[in-house]
Formats: sequence, structure tokens, C-alpha cells
Amino acid sequence: MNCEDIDRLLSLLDPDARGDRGQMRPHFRSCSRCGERYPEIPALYRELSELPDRMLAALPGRRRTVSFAAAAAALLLIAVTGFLSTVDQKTDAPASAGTVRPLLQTVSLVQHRTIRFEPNQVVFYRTTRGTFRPGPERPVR
Amino acid sequence: MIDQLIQSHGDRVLALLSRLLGNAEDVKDVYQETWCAVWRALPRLRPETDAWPYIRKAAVRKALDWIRSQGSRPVTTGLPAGAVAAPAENRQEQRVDLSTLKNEQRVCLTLFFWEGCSVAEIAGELGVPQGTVKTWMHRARKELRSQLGEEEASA
Repeated sequence: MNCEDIDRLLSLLDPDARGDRGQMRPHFRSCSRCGERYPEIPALYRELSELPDRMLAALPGRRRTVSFAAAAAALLLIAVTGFLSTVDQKTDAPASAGTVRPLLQTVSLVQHRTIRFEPNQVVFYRTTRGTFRPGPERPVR
Repeated sequence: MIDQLIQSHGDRVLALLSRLLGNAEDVKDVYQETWCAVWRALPRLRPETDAWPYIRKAAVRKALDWIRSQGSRPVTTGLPAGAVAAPAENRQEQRVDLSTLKNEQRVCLTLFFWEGCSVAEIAGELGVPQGTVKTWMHRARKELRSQLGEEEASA
């Protein structure tokens, strides 16, 4: 990829042209002319590259969304408030983070939907809408 | 199979959603949505083919649904102040703040420059004319360039 390719690509005249970062980033690193002409592009690449790490680092211990702690917190919230749902727990709940133990319970939501969780199933929780979705079995970190 | 997919592509999905959404809490929610969609689609996925294109599409689609539900407000990073990148010392270290962009501008830049999508593909994903995508990208780049101009002016 050369400077003309960069010019052509950034002009957006070809709707099927792809911004290949594997070629564009090295070019911008080495080409002062393109760096001067399009200073926002190297800065954009830098930000897009570093953003995920910064964002996820700001959430220590909360990276895995399918986590026991979050699921347990969602269950506790609903059980405590009592407005949205009632939780009828039939067996022991998971005892500690990092493991998923047999869990059989029924969650009755305010919409009168009842979802049954089978042993070893992991809950895909949705705190924002107050719904629960059964998910496939997988280890929880 | 979903275990293997999450193991192999989970971090990639998180990174993609981080760039598309820019808000850690939103990322967590859409991450859930994405894997729910993939899980529902598992019977249709062929084990011998690369699942990443489908997962990526599901993540982008869920992110767009989320953005539409949130309106067109500028994103907030959800990060503490200390987590924001420090100001640049020189041109090689110049920084831009993507949180000042509108959601659709941010999505267009991410899909084009990072995910390698064409304008036509982005327009198809967003359901808008190609000219609209070009306009959003132009305005986004103009905004980023103005940030750099402000940096240079204040330096």
C-alpha cells in the first residue's frame, strides 16, 4: 500500500474499498507524508488499539459477564425487592465463585413468565430488563 | 461448542464491542446479547467453517440495536478519570477522544478502519445510504482532526 492507495481509500470514492488496518497502520507508521496529511488516522488507530484494554482494565474482576457474582447479584436483587419476581430455590445455590454447582430453581417474573434452570446451567442474566435466560453449561471464572 | 467459541473468540468480541460502544457497562450487556444470539444460531453453524464472521456480524448487529435503543447521544466511556489516556507529548503520541463522536460516527470509523469493512458493507449493516456513511465518516474525521488542532494550539 502506497500513498496513492491511502489517498484513494480515504477519499471514499470506491464504496467497495476496504480499510485494511494490517496495511494502513504500518504505512502510517512509516510515512511522514500521510501522517502529516491525515494526522487523525494514526491517532484513531492508537485509540482503537488501546481502548479495549483501558476499558476492561477499569472493571477488575467484572470482565466475564457470565459470572457467578453477577448472576447471584441479579437473583438477590429480585428476591429482595419482591416487586418484580419471586424466587423459589429448590436446591443448593452455587457456593463459591469459580464453580457452578447443581442449581435448580424457578424464577417467576412480573410478566408471569416462568423459566426453569436445570442443574449446571449458567444463567445469562439481564439486569436491565429483569429477564433471565438459560444458557449452556460452561465454567465460570 | 459454545464453550469453545467463547474461549476462542470471547476476548475478540469484547474488544470489538469496546470499540463500537465505548461504554463498559453497555459492552457487558451487548456481550451477553451477542452470545445469546450465537447460542441460538448454533444449530445452523457448521463446525468446519470459521465462526468468527458470524460472531462478528452478530456482535455488530447487537451493538447497533443497542445504539439505536439509546438514541444518538455521544458515548461516555464509563471509565474513571485516571483511566483516560494522558495528553500527547508529540505528534507520534497524539491522542483523540472518541467519546465526543456520535455513536453512528464511531461505528463507521471502527468498522471501516479497524474491521476492514467497505462503505457499502457499513451502509448495509446500518441500513442507511452509502452517502450517509461517507458523511458520518467525514464529520467524524473532521472532529478528530479538530481535536488534534486544539492540542497543537494549546501546546
